[in-house]
Amino acid sequence: MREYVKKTKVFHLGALAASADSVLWAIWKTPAAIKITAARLAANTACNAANTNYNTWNLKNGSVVVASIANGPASGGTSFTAGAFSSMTVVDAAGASELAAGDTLSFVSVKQGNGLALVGAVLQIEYYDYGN
Amino acid sequence: MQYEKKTFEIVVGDIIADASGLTEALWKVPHAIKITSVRFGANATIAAQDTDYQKIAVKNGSNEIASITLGPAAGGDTLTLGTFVEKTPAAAYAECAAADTLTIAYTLTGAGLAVTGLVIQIEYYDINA
Repeated sequence: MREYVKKTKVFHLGALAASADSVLWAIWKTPAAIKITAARLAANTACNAANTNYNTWNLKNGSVVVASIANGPASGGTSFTAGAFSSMTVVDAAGASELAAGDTLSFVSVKQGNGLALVGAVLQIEYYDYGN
Repeated sequence: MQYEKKTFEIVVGDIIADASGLTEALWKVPHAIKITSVRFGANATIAAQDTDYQKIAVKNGSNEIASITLGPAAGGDTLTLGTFVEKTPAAAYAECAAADTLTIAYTLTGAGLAVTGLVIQIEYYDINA
């Protein structure tokens, strides 16, 4: 089996507003076919998962969800610790985690209730590429 | 010979309407590269408009590699959620030498036009790694 070298991309997204709803942010157009093996989101301020008001952040390729994480509900949502990455749930399927060259990966925020902001957000994508 | 395309991207963040005169360091290239595309994105749609808008350029020294201009309404660039505006680099300046520093420069027209969540992506390949 061919051995692939894992690579990473890091995006300093900054403040993710609570009110951001259905905001689609193009962050990376892939130069080659890739497979995403992990995605992580961090904040520079702790944020406890909450009920009623929270956000879900998705990585999407077009309309396909590649990975997601939410800071709610309190049970099942992700509580962020300052300075630490939290793993996003990657959809490990050919039609999701594998992207073709030239696909555009977007970071999408969807709010529940009034939403719940994240401060100093950093996104890391771990992947390997299949070459051009 | 087949070259491996690579990308470098930076989330520049929010740009005030009047950023004219600002020059931000973007990337000091580690070795000679050839840029094949420059892409601009934002996390809010910014429609090209008349009178007040801004030009955002990626430069190598005083040489402009690629830019977007968010006006006038007819002919200007519009940043659309979820997509990049893609620009072909100026042929004369697509190649950068090792240790060149790429910058972002802003030029104001009228009162300018703010951009939210600016992302710049540079697609390139190494010439002599």
